[in-house]
Amino acid sequence: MATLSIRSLSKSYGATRVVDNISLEVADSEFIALLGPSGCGKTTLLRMIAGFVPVTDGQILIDGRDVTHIPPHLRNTGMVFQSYALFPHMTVAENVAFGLKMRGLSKEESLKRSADALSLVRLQEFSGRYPRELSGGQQQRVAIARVLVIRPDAFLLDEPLSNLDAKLRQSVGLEIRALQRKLGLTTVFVTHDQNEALGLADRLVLMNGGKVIQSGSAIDLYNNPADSFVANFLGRANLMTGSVSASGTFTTDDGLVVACDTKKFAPGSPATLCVRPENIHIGPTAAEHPNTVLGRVLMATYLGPVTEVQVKIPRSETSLTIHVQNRRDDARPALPEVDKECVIGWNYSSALLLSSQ
Amino acid sequence: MRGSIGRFLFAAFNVMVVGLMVVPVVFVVWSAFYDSPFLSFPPPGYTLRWFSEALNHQAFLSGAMTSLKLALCASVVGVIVGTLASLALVRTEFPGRGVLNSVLLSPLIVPNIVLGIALYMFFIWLADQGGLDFTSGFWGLLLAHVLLTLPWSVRLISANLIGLDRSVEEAAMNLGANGLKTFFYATVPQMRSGVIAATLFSFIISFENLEISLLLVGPGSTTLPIALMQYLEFNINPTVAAASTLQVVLIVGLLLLTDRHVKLSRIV
Repeated sequence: MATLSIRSLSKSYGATRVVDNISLEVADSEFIALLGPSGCGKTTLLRMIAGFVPVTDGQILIDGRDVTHIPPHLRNTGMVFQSYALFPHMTVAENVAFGLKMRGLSKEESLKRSADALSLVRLQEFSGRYPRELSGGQQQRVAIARVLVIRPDAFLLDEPLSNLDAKLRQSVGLEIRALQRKLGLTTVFVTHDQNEALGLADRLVLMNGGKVIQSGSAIDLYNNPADSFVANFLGRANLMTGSVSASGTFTTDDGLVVACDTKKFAPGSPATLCVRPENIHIGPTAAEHPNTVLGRVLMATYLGPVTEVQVKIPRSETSLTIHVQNRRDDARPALPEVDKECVIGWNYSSALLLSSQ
Repeated sequence: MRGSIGRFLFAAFNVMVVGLMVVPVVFVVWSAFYDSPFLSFPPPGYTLRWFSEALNHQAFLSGAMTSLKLALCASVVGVIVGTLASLALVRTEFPGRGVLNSVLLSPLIVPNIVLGIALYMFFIWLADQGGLDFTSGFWGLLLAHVLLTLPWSVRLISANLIGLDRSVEEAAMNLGANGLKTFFYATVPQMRSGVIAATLFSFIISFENLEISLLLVGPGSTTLPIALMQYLEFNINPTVAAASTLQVVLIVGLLLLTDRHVKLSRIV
């Protein structure tokens, strides 16, 4: 397999920079997910790696080989598309053998290798069917086999699960991950769905406005977001803008005073406070925490594993979202009733101070 | 209640429109079997002799041959030119693309008879300028009929091209196909339904055309519709109806045959 290096890569359409000076190193056999809201440039970046979008500036190296200006058919990347993009007029076996045929392999060799690839995705008995005779999940697995058979240097996936229903999304996703591990594929996976990214990738690359905002493991990004955009994009976050009033103290625009780590900010500088819903305690034990607020319960919604509670705090326009774990073996926590006052609290370390975005 | 009245009116309107199109055909087919040299109603009896009459009428036979040859050539030429033009129009950017598109579709908006007269005058001018005489012969007719079929080819093939999933072609490139191979392995097979529909429509439009051929036919190159019209100038009997019935059967047969390969309801 191979490494993938992206060096100061940019793409402009007229005055619009869709991809803005991105540098990224993907190690051999690493699985990275390009994640971001639609229009953040993640798909354009992937298509530049595949060679479908001409590069405005910068370099793309696959295994040290500069492919920046090499046409797509000579790059040896393997792309899986959102729409599957199978050849409708070819059987499953012919679809899978296509890449080998283009590489001039003998019929015998390509049949053997296609059969192997099809058995990797457990579709060997479908080889004589046409794509239209398969379900969406099966079609996407054929598309994966079609790419694996050419042993690509870079395995590229463009929202491959978006057209599948929720159950299939998970199973095909896990299948992609298992194959990627087994074959040691250097993989770039584009998605706007954070759950897919968190669940599959070794490393997340969060993009916005054509730039990489933060890159790291799921744990890194979730627990130490670079700024309020990251905190807000990944998971749920209660964000409050304000400024550092003194060392160790942050005052929100609404006048709420919070004790937290302010080391990264000079006194007086603006920042955003982030507290994740699962880190806020509610009920009798809440008052034991360094940050305690008296609020009023607006709404409590049972969501299965958690109950989501909206609490309005004094002087603030917005309410805080709190997740209370629902464990069967727990004594049922005394959930505050709607419209009643309640005490909420969180730890010093649960309050993250971030630069505003 | 209101909805059901609306639905009834809509259904009635549809039945009326379809009726207006079908009833004349039914009467033509029916009258082809009348056992009477005149188109009288009700018919005194039924016979098949008008069919043998039509099939033995020399002018009809040679007209049919000319029309077949002409429709075949016009649709093949029209579809080839139409395919290339559609590829250029849909897949490339060049100055004057809009103009070219309008020019290619313009024969649709000019009445056929006007087109025929204009072409005739143009061919006369061409002959005067020296040499090429297209005024009455197969080649002149072919040129005229290509003009007739081209807009249909461009329309149907362009619509098909616009609707194609480009990622299929990208997949081919990604898997190692260069531009030419991508075109032949991924693009062309997907153009199949558009090309088949375009060929069929071109054939039918050319085969049944009367107006544009009117001034351009000559001895030995008379088309079937012209032969039928000439026959009608001197005779009124069910032979013409029999010949028309055969033509209807041919076209319906073609439509059914095509529908087995490409679902017509999906493209037209």
